[in-house]
Amino acid sequence: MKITVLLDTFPSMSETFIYTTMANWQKAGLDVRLLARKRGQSLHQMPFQSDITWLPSEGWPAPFKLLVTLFFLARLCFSPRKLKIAFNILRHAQGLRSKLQLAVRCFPLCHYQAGLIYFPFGGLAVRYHEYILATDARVVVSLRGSDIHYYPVIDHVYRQKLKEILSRADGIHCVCIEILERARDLAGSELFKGKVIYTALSDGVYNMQLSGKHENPRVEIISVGRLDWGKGLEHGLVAARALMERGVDFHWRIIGDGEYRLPLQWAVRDMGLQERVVLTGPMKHQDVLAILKSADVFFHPSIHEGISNAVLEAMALGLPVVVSDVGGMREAISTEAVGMLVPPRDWRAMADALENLALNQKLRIDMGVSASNFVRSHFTAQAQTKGFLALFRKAMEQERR
Amino acid sequence: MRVGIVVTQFPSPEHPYIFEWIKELLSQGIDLYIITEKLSAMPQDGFWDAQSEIRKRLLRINRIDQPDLGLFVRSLVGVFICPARLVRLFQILNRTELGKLLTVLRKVFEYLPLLTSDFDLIHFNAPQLAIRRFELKDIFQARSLVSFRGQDFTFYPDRYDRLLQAADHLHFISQFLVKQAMERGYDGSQHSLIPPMVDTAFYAPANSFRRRAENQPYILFSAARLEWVKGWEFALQAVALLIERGWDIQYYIAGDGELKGLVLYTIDQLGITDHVHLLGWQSPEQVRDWMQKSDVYILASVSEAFNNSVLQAQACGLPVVCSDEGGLPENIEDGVTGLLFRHRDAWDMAEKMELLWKDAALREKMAKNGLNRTRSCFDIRDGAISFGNLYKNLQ
Repeated sequence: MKITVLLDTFPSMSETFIYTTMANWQKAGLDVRLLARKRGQSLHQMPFQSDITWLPSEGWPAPFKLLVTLFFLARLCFSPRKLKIAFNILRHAQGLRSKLQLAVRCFPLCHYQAGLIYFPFGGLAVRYHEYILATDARVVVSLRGSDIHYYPVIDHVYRQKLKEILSRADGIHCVCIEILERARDLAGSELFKGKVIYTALSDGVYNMQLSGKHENPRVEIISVGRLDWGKGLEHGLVAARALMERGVDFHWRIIGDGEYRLPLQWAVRDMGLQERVVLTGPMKHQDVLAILKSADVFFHPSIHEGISNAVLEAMALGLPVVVSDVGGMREAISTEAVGMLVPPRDWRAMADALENLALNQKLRIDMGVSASNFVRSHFTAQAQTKGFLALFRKAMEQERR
Repeated sequence: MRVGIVVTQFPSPEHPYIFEWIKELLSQGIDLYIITEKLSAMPQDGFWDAQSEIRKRLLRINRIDQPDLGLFVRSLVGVFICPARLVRLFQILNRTELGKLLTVLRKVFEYLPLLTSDFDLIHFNAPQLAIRRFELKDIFQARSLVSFRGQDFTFYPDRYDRLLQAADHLHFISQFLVKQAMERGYDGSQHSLIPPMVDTAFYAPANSFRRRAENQPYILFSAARLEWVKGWEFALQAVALLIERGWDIQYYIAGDGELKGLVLYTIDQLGITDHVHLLGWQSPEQVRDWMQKSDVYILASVSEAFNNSVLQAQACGLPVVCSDEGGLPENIEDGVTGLLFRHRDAWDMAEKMELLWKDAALREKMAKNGLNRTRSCFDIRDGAISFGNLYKNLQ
């Protein structure tokens, strides 16, 4: 089976889990091809080998766009079927300028499409909304978090486009049940073909030993994630202020980088947490895992989330976690024994949970062991690959509408 | 005494009282000129006809990224009148820019419209601007005054270390900023503290104080940019807490900004879409009207140098519930014109709002106190006098 995967930036540090997933598909015998829009950089190791086709930039000046369009149009002429799709796409745009924009975006996709087209992010699928509605290829879309939680709330056009895609796509992969339910509500259609496939732990994490018992009286708290407001770290810092005032001996390391760095740096200085909290910046995955193993508690005060891979990894390594009850997080923290859920933005509940863990080493260890057992048995690569293969097969078998 | 005040944009649409302020200074005998990097497009035709006196006092820096060729041609006249000044401009810029030819040429082009002017004092209206254009003081061989008005030390604590030493005099709008400057090594010997002022003729209560009728919702109002410094999540969380406790609330927010997505998302997530209304950017007149018909003004800033709209709200006779961050404790008098809560603490904020609402007499007292305090301490005319005296002292 051939799969064409569309990515925005490649490689991207925060999308390593997708490369791992695709590597697993290759092992299972799928022919995976990659289309990418921009070159990126990543500190992480690339688990995935494939030829990459770069799509033309949409930011070029109009004459270049015209040349690109003519170039792909000429190539599409060899296949009347694809040419028809291309013209159907253009019907969605009014005015020459927006037609040109749409042509530069979608014509290359018409040309390169082979087998099933997979959009690993809902937001990316919305960008190619016109293509998805016009193409005769089978389309599978993943919904992972902000693409269904955030953008539909703040942007009506996005919401409408996503709604149409959810009814049209031949398979919708949701990373958790919560997202599946939300997507089904949004689609509001019997044609919705959603399926939950949980993200797998990477082999590196799966094979690692559990984090051990630490005798240090100072509790090491750790967070890993992009520094944007969605991670809710500012609320976490308010909880840290409360912990400090309660006299709890702790140290909190926040690993990651992002546009919300400045507000967080200010919050740390403003609340006098310089001695207690460190923003380390981005790190290699191996180094993150090493730090996770030496920590006592993992803290994830998110505002919105699908299922956080960072939390799953921490749990797999035997860390007790304190996590906001948002998105699908309660599917990973299914019982009180495997982790602590707190309402988002509630610094008081966060501080209580952290204090409870900080003062109770036995609780930390027991919770870590339960978390590890639960996550290692429910978030496996085998189950994930099997799920995707079934989803793809079903999508291919479908009658085209 | 000729003073040149350097600003990024003139006139700023959010500060319409600036004209009154300038006229007041002129009447005190200050020969004031405005040197602006950018001229705002004014909405009404014939706007400048009414302000012809000030129009004459407006000088422009011809920014190289938005060059005005007409201005360039006009300023060439100055080169013919006093060619010696052009040579001197080259020499001074060559010295201040350490011989970087491209920068020198760019700045010669930019400052050409100022060639025929003379100043005794250059007042930089913001520290960022002072860093960018500090050579103006050398060009005019004038004394320098730098105003600190914003969250400059919050964002970039170490950026102004040299400026704090180099400027002849500093102006801070709050004690909080003085403290931040002193943490960066300023010795505290050469500054003036003049808080922002409010036009109390414009920002004033409607005919009578608003009394809340029974069975009507409490109206909350905020006017601030939708940016992280304003702590929107905390304000919305506090509003959600109160709604959960059974209070009937309608909250109106004037302003726009890059974190609109976060605000919309938070409103949706907290399930208070029927209670919170985003009004977008509002003109000063609209903001005043909202202040006149609201019950309480709220602001949950996590970083604030002083804040104009809190002052305006008090001038409109509106009690304020705001965070205890930065210059806000100097802005409202806690327990007298409003209530302070611990910044980033939605529960404390909700508690303070509840306290105020349970007590109509307290609300009314605070409204009156706010009105009296702004009229006696923060009136724009008094502020202009303070600035006039400061300029005269620096002569």
